[in-house]
Amino acid sequence: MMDTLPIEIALDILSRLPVTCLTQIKCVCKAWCALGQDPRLSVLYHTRAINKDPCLILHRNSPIRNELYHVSSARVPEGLLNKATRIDSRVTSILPDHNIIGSCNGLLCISDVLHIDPMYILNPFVGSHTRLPRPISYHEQEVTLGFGYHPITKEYKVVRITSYVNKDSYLSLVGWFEESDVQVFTLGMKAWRSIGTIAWRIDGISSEALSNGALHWVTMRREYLPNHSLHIVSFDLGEERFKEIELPSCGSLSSCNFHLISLQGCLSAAVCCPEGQIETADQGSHPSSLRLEEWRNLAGV
Amino acid sequence: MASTDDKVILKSSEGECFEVDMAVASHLQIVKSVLEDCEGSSDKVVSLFIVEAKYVAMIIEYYKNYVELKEKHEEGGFEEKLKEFEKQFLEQIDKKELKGLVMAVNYLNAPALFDVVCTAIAKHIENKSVEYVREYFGIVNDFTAEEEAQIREEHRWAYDGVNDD
Repeated sequence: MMDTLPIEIALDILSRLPVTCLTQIKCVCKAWCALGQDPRLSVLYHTRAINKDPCLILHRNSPIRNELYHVSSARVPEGLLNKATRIDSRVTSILPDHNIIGSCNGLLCISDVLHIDPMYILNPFVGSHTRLPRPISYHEQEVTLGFGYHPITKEYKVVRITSYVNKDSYLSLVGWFEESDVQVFTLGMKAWRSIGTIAWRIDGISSEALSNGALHWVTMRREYLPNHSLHIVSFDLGEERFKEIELPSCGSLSSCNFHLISLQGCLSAAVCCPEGQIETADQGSHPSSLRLEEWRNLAGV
Repeated sequence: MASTDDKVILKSSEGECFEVDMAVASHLQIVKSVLEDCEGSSDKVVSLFIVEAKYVAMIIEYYKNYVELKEKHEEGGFEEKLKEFEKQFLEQIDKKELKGLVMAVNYLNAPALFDVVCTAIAKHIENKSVEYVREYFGIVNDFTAEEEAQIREEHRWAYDGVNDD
């Protein structure tokens, strides 16, 4: 009988371990250390973990140095509290002051707080990270980002939407961001790709929700314009196309009282109510659905 | 040995023969494909060259119960009964043998048992020290002392509550 454990069996066994053990496993030998960074592991791990022990990554935005913690719901021995553990040693060494652009399958996409660049995709549990190449930047620009995974193409992508001022246009005199450029970076590739422009002005620094392989943003919440109305814009990470989604008719979504979230895989809106409750409305269980008018009310979440 | 149509003989690496119902053996993908390849031939002996007899016996025991339970609980409740049996089944297996078993199961391509054994091994090495894991799998540490110290330093948070055995 063979003596050494074949790599695919090791991978399978490792994917069944709680995340803290996964980190120790990197010390066993060089081959296992490499396994800890194998993208197959993160996908296998995630599909198992989501069914068994969901784990939260918490981000504490403190001055100068940000902190990351993780809380796992896995097997806490009786009598012990489920403690949050700090996991930011690697993150703070590469980028102490960062924004979290997005997280999916245990991977985080972070960017510099002030300048956006550099950006990294990293796995805080095993400490591996990739620095993203430099995108095209513009003189006066506003950047909105998004990070997600598409379950069919099995690719991780970062989307960068830039609005900028065209210096040759008279509108530049009033600082009007009339031009746009959308760039996509696929994890594993060497450079950003420009895929065209976007017809909407997006609010916020990063995408609010990832559901069904699509990123979602809300259009400018405080646009000073006649006929201004609010929209949700989605970007399918597989097709790489934008699409507008109508706001739910139920509930009381006004311009700035809600956040998009992904609830059980459905695009949802979380609304802060005056009594301190959170109400959510979701889009209906139709995956990648076009029948977007069907928002349901989910109370008491 | 009487060999009827729905029986097959599995031969271990030591040459020991096990007569098994086809319904049981067909859960082993490798046996299934060998038999399909030589369909029509009267020879119903499949040699499992690298699998020791003790593992062949374990695998047969698992799938025999699997098939029986599935028949008995067709109406429902199969999964709970199987879980109960899996617990007993794993209790009688020495921890050192799990590693040999998982490789045998992987070779025979038997998904249900593979899942069970991988989970059992993961449970066993969970919260064990790095040294224990190396010894358990017979892995040689190929890090230099400095390299290992560096990795440990990076992940100090993960070493709280580790057992030494």
